[in-house]
Amino acid sequence: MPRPRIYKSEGIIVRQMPLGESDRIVTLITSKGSKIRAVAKGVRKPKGKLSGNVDLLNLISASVARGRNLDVISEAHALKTFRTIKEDLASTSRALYLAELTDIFTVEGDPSESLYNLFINTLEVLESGDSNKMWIRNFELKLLEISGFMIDFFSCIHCRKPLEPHDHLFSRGGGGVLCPTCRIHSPDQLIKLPLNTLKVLRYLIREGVQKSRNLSLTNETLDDLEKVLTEYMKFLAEREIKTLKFMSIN
Amino acid sequence: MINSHGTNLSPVVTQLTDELSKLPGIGPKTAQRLTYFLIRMPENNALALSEAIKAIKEKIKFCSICHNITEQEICELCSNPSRDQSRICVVEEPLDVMALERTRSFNGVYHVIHGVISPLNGIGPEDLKIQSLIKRVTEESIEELILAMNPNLEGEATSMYIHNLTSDIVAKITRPARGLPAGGDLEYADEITLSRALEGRQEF
Repeated sequence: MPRPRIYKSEGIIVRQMPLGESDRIVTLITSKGSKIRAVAKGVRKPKGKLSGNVDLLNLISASVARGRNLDVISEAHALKTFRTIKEDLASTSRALYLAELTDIFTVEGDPSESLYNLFINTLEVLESGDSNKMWIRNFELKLLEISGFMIDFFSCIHCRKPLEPHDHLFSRGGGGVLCPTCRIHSPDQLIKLPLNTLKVLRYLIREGVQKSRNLSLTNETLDDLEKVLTEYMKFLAEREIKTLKFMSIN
Repeated sequence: MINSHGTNLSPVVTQLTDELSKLPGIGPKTAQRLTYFLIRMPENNALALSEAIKAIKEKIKFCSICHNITEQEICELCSNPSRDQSRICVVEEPLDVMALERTRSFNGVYHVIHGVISPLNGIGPEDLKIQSLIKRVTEESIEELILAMNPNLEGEATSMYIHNLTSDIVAKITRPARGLPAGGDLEYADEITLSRALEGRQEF
C-alpha cells in the first residue's frame, strides 16, 4: 500500500536553520521517537501562518506533505511552547542541551519512543521551574541506558573486580571505570572520578533523581559529575556538544 | 573537454555558475539561469554589476560605534547630531536597521550585534558585538536600551543575556510590542501571537 502523501505528526522542534528568504528547515523529534526534517514555509514572515507556532522547543502538531527531497509542513499548531523555560536563560540553556543530545542520539530510521518520553518529561520538569542540575545528570544517565551505552559504576571495566572505596578514573573509550591498578590498560586519556562523585552517581542510579536532587553537594563534586558525563557524551557523539559552552556560563 | 560537472561547457561559464551558486538561496539550476541571463545582458550592464560588487568589497566597512554598514569610519546615523544619542536600539543585522528606519518613528541610534546567540550552532555571546555594546552603555549616558531582536527563542535568549548585563547600568530597557500584524485577520492569528497581543493590550 503506497504511503499517504500527507501525514500527521506530533513532536518537538530540536533544530532549525534558515532556508531562502522566509523559510526554515526544522528537525522534529516525534512522539513516536523518530526524526523528521521538513521545510516550514514563510515562517520567518510576521504574517506567515506558521510563524508563531514553529519555533525551537515547541511541541507541535503538524500536517506534513511528502516532498521529493524534503517534506513540507503545510499546517502546524503549537500544543506547548514551554514559555517558562524560554523566559529564563539558565533553563533555556539546559533545554537546548537536552534538545541537542536528543537530536544526536535519535538515529534516523531507528525511532526511540523512550528517548522522546525522557526528553519531554525532563522539559516538563524545567517548565515547572525546577532547574536543579541533577535533572540534567539524570537525563544523561537515562539516555545512556536507553541508547545501550550505560556505564557500570560498580566494577572495573578491565579486571571486573568490584571498585574499592577510593578515587578512580573514567575511560571514555572503555565506556567505564578503571581501578588504579588497571589504568595502564586504558585506550585513551582518563578523567578523574573521585570517590564522592562515584558515590553520587551510584546514588542517582539506585535512588532516582527526586532523592538525589536534595543532596548537598560541593561545587567540585558537581563539576566532576558534569565533566564525566559530558565528556562521555562528546566521545559517543564523536563531536563537540555545541550547547555545552552556553550552558556552562548560565 | 569534459569539465568537473561532466559537461563540455566553457570553463568561463562553469566558473561563473560555480561562483553564483555560493550565494545563499542560489542552487545550481538558478546559478545556471543567472549565468545565461548575464551572457545575454548588454555588456555595460554586466560590467556595472561587476563594478558594484567590487565597490561593495572595497568601500563598505562597519561603523566603529554601532557596527552598521557604512562607507565612513562612523556611519551617517551615529554622526548625525539630530539623532537622540541617549536611546540605543539593539538589532541583529544591518537589514533590521533599514527596516526600522523605513518606519521613520525612531530618532535614536542603533547597535548591530551581527547575529544572535545560537547555542545549537555554537554561536555564543563572544561571537557577537555584545561586548562593544556593554562598553558603549557603560561609557555613554544612555537613557533607554531597546532590545529589538527577532521574537523567537534565540532572539529572546539574546535579549535576556543583554538585559542581565545592562540592567544595573541603563535605567530603562524596553522591547518592541508583540501582537497582531496590521492588515491581518484575528481568526487566522496563531494562539501565541493572540495571547501575547492580549497581554500587551492598551487603553483605547
